[in-house]
Amino acid sequence: MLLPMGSHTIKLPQYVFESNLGELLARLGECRSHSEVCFDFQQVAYYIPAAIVSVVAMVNELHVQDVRCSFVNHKDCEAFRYLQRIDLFSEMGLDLPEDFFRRSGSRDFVPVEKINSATKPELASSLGECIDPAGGPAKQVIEFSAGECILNCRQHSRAIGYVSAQYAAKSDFARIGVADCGRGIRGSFRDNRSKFYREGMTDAEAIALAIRPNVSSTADLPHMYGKSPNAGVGLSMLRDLVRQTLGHMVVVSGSGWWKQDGVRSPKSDGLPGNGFFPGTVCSVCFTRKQIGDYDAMLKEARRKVKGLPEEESDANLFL
Amino acid sequence: MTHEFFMKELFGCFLADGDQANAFRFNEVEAKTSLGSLIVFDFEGVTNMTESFSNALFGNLAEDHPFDLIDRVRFKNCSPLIRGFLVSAVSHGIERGKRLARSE
Repeated sequence: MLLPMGSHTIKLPQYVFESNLGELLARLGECRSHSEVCFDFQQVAYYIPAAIVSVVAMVNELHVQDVRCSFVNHKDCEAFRYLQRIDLFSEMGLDLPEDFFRRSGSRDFVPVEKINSATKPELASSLGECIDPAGGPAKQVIEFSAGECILNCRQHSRAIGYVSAQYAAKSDFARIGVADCGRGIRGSFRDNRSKFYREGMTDAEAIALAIRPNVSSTADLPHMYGKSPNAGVGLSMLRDLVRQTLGHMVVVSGSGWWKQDGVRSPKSDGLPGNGFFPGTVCSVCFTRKQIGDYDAMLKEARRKVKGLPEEESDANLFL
Repeated sequence: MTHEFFMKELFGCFLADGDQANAFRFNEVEAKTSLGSLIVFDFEGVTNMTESFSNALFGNLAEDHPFDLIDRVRFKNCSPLIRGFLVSAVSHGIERGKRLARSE
């Protein structure tokens, strides 16, 4: 197939996992400086949900900026059916005929959904049900995690976000991906005049700060309801739940990335090739068989994140 | 006077939205506690919660009333999981409130 003339062509990679998500995002970020962009799907075989929603967010951002987008080899790539079922194409404005029936009920993925001010908690619940239709602890962990990620996107990005989830039986990984092309984490600290913000702060530093317990960019803002809803523990709790299941977590925002693999110390740096993604992407991955007692996992996470002992001195509060 | 809030009816089985929780605390809960009502939160049918929700509603409420929360609220029909969220939010809210009171 001939590629459209005059376009910047981005050859989408064959596989995107947590380890090379940053490379994809750096390449997506390059699209902003062109008036026409062609997305070549020829090699695409498998993308984790965070990669899928990042492509969707970027294409929609390009639409908003009147950058003409075209797509080639998408119908011939190995992942075509999967990408169609997960609504990657339709969420990018590309309506393709479907020669399959969409099943309702339990599946091993949740198609891409928009995150905006109207997004309801039921979306997080449906993500949880996809991973664990029986409604066990895995459903609750995913529900909790998706709820925190969706709320973060809604509160901080000032943009439409996208979310998807998938369970990969072979690896036993349950993944959630959230992406937006908003102001980024550093932008949120800056715009909210957070006491944590300083001139010259890098995106990687801003991400690391946001993951630290008790840090929220909005905590010190005067609020119409007297207090900010944010205590700055959501991401930290999420990080510890991921650690407990020997999973993976990646956060990319602007020019920085932050990554945790299992129980190893997290790593953080700039995107490859001085790349820049205009927004924030969060990828959360749990090893499903490592999800045991959800209540015990939360207690362990709270002990690590909040530090203070949880005294049962309030027993009289409970009827 | 006692006022009871049925959390599942108000927010569903999964209490997730911290913004909604914050608005509810300010508009409904604080409005009633300021009139001297005892507030009972009934968690029948609630299966999960986010830290954001529990902090925005119960953590902030405890922070505002660190010395007399017991005179203002009660929790009812909590599963051990939900109780864990509440104990955590309330104990840390009280801690923050007491710290603020000491610094004033």
